[in-house]
Amino acid sequence: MIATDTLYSISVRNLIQEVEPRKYRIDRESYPHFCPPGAGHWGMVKMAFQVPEIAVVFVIPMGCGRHGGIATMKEGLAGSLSYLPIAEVDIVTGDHLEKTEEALSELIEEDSPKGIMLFTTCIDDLLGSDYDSVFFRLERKYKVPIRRAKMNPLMSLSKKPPDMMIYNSMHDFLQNKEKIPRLYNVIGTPCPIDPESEIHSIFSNAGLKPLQHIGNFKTFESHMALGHAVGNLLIGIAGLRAVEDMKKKLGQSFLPVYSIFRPEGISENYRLLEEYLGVKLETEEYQKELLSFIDSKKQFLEGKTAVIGTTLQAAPFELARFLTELGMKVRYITAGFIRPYEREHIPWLEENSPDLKIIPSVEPSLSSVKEPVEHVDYGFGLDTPAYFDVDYLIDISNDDNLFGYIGTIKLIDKILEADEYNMSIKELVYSQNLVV
Amino acid sequence: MKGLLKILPPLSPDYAGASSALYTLGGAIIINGADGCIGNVTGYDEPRFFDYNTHIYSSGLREVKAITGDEEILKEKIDNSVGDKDVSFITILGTPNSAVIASDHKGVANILRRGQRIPVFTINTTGILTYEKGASNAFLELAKNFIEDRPTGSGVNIIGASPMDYWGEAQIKSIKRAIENRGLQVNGIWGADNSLESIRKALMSEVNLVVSYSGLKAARYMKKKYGIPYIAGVPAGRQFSDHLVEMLKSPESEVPVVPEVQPSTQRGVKRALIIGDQIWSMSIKAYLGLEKEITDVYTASFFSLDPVYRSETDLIIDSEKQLKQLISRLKPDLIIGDPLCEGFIEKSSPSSDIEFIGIPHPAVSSRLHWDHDIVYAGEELSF
Repeated sequence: MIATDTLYSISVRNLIQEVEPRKYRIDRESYPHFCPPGAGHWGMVKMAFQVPEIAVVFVIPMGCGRHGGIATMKEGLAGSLSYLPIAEVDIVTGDHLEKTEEALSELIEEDSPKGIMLFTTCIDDLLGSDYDSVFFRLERKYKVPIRRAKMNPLMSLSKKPPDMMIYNSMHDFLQNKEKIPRLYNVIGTPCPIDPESEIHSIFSNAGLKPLQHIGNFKTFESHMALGHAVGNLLIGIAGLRAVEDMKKKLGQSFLPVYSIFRPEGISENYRLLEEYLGVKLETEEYQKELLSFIDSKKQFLEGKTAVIGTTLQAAPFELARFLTELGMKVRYITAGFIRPYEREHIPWLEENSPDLKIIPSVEPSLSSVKEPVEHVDYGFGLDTPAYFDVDYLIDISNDDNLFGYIGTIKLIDKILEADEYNMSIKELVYSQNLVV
Repeated sequence: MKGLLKILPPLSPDYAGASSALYTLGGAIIINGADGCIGNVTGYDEPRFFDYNTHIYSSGLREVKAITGDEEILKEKIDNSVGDKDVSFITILGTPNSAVIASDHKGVANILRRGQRIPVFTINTTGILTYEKGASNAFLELAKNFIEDRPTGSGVNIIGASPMDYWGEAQIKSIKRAIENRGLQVNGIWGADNSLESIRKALMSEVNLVVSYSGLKAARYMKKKYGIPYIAGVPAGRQFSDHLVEMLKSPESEVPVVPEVQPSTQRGVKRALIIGDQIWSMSIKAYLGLEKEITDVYTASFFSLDPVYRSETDLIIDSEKQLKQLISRLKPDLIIGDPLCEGFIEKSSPSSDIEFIGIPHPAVSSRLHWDHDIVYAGEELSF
């Protein structure tokens, strides 16, 4: 075991005091960033391909886009993906715009995509490249919609970070269609809500139409149905800018009801939904089922230790509180930021889990960690085995997209039924194919 | 590369090549960019990432600092992260962002040097060029910063052996065995060794063997400054290994002279095309001629070609379209190249019966193919 003083972490008791001045960012300001193994997510390409039948094109310096390209090949994703490398001279002369126009013309003529999502990178933000006029000419000539997306981590601390803005781009092809009453979209996660979640039957019983998500549609034309919805349920904060944008462009209202695990929080979400939708939702039966399930399983979790990593489709501090309430001991959380709706849980954790430590997600001292920091029973997140000796690994992935009371039951089931973890971190990372 | 890449991914960039040359030497590597750049390196261009704890960091460049050109923060971040660590050097690598805002890395390095007892150097990378440019400059910086003046001994240094060219552990062992079996001792392997010792002691060898384009710059520097000769080539097959080691023993020319062989149609192969790093391709070309009697061989590369080693049958590929046209024009019977190159055969000539041998080039196909067991150097080539 290493001396844990090698690894920088923040006690939950000092957390708010330390991160509030830097707008709740946990990563230290005057330190460089390490890239821990296992960290990552779906990546821009996979997100973009949620829009059916479009071509995805990256205009890039050679150094950008390799991760997404390789990950896409590894996963064998179907779809039209191409890269247009920019040369140094193009950047100086602005010729990359002309070359983009040529390349897109060729692509449209050869492949006839229904739409094109064109990704630009940080340098276009710095250069102020004007793609709008390129798109205008091409759209007029070929009648193919082209939308811009940005893979620009340079803007990660701005109000328009790339992890959020990708959702804007994914929904940017939609048009303001006639609204269909009682029709709502789900925004903010790459996949539709777990089909086994109770929300689907609750909606159906309340006379609401089935929830729509961009991942439900197989054709470009059919995905336009998202424009008919009267409102959007924001279940992941990454979709915040998208729903704000859709409110302006498509006239769709929105309600934040983030995916969480604590029964009290889920009940509050449904209460908010009732207010927003103006209908009574029959949730009591599901709530009772969860509470009874927790009662029956809690004894198995009492005293078990856990760490929480960064790859989860979950809010780490809310999850930490929930696990602590189940009787588990959460030892560490790795996170880069405290989401606004999680801040209420910090004082509770301070009081009820005072030994909890928080490791910044890109903490440079991680590069000095040569042996597991600590043995724990459960690692939540695919990155946790990189630094902890975990007996069982729990993933809550984008594909799961757990939601509601049944989401929590499924999480507990995952914990209780987990197989022993016995892979190397390299095998794990390569098999999961996450994109940094 | 020009035009759209539809078959290939973006190729490994120069900062990844530089990092690859330095990765296991105990230094601190700072990539001055937003965090996507370091993710490209650690996730997709560094097979050793899971085996070595290297202090490789992103500066975490963000928009305000970029726009205002605040370089003080870069110095502060390096001081904060490296100050308490036992590192053997600090290097700063550039990315597209730092190139566009013209970050003054040399200035930052000069200031850092005053407070450090270890070498601090920069490598002029931009993330716009390909890996071999960065690796070349990194090997050169190693030569400039670490070679110690020592009396000449015997043996050979292998230069340019980073995993981004083909040189994983199995290939390195094979190359080393081919040389040592022929009576020459290998003293150091630049790009694969795990400490700076072999670089510090480089002058104790009497000759350098350059195994990829990336090693040429450093070898030329050493020849000019210290008079240590070099030969470029990779032991490939018994006959060419014999030939190469003989040249190492009496290095009169930088270019290995391959004995002429009569054309043959063995295995039905008339014409071959090798796609890869220039020095490796040149060596495989020699191997094909000497041991397979295939003499009508073209080579092509997505990467730089050094004019000294280039003949009229050695071509640069600057677009996917050009490679398709080249295959269509040459009509080769055999293509040897990264497995992703097979995609060009299907696209350009679906009905042909071209034999394809996939030789993973990590700078092209990254982790898609780097965990392979093909031996493509030394005496025991597996093709």
